[in-house]
Amino acid sequence: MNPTLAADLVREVVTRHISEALLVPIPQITPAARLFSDLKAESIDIVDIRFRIEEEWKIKIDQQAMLESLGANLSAEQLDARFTVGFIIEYVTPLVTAARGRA
Amino acid sequence: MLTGIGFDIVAVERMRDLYVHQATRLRTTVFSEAEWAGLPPAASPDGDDPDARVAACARHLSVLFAAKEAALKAIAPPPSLAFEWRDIEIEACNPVRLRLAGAVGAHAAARGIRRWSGAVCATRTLGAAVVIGETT
Repeated sequence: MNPTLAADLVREVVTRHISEALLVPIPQITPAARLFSDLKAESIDIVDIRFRIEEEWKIKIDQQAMLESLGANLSAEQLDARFTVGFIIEYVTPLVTAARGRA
Repeated sequence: MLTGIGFDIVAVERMRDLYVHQATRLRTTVFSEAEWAGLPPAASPDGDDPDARVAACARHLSVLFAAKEAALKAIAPPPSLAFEWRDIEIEACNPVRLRLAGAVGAHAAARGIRRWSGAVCATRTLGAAVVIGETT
């Protein structure tokens, strides 16, 4: 799959799932939006978003690996700043590309 | 000595949606086998109400998830600590008894937390838990 197409598709679908999980209008789901402080996500919402994305593409998101990729020894403020919609899109895109390559 | 305390609430309706649509993923990535085994038994063919069972399961899972989150707050790991929800297993609710594994368990041990207590409660709409960690 063309990487640009994959990124566009992932952006569109992830945005929709976050919107549906958090009941937030799509225009507010920008790449820079922080899941916790901007979109008011809670732990159970993150679980929900993860499951929706896994279901959409039949992929497995390793929560531990995803958290590790945010960086080590972050303060709460740094974690919040890095855990954005854009981060999820960037993390998921190669997983989707790989899954579609196998299909 | 009290070392950490955590409190959390979870909307039952939120957990109900996950239970109805994502039960397999919940069972394999969030809750342990033992936690799942504690759900109300399946409806019997002689007339149990399946909707009532779903509601009861959602309430139970809400409480367990609230207890996991409360335990995490009591442990107070570094914000970016990578963990899995299954590493916090709620063995009993009132009083709370739990078992830790993985990075979360290692962090609790490093803080010297050896004893746990706490309580949970649920209404039709909310599951809530408070968890306390002590060093001795």
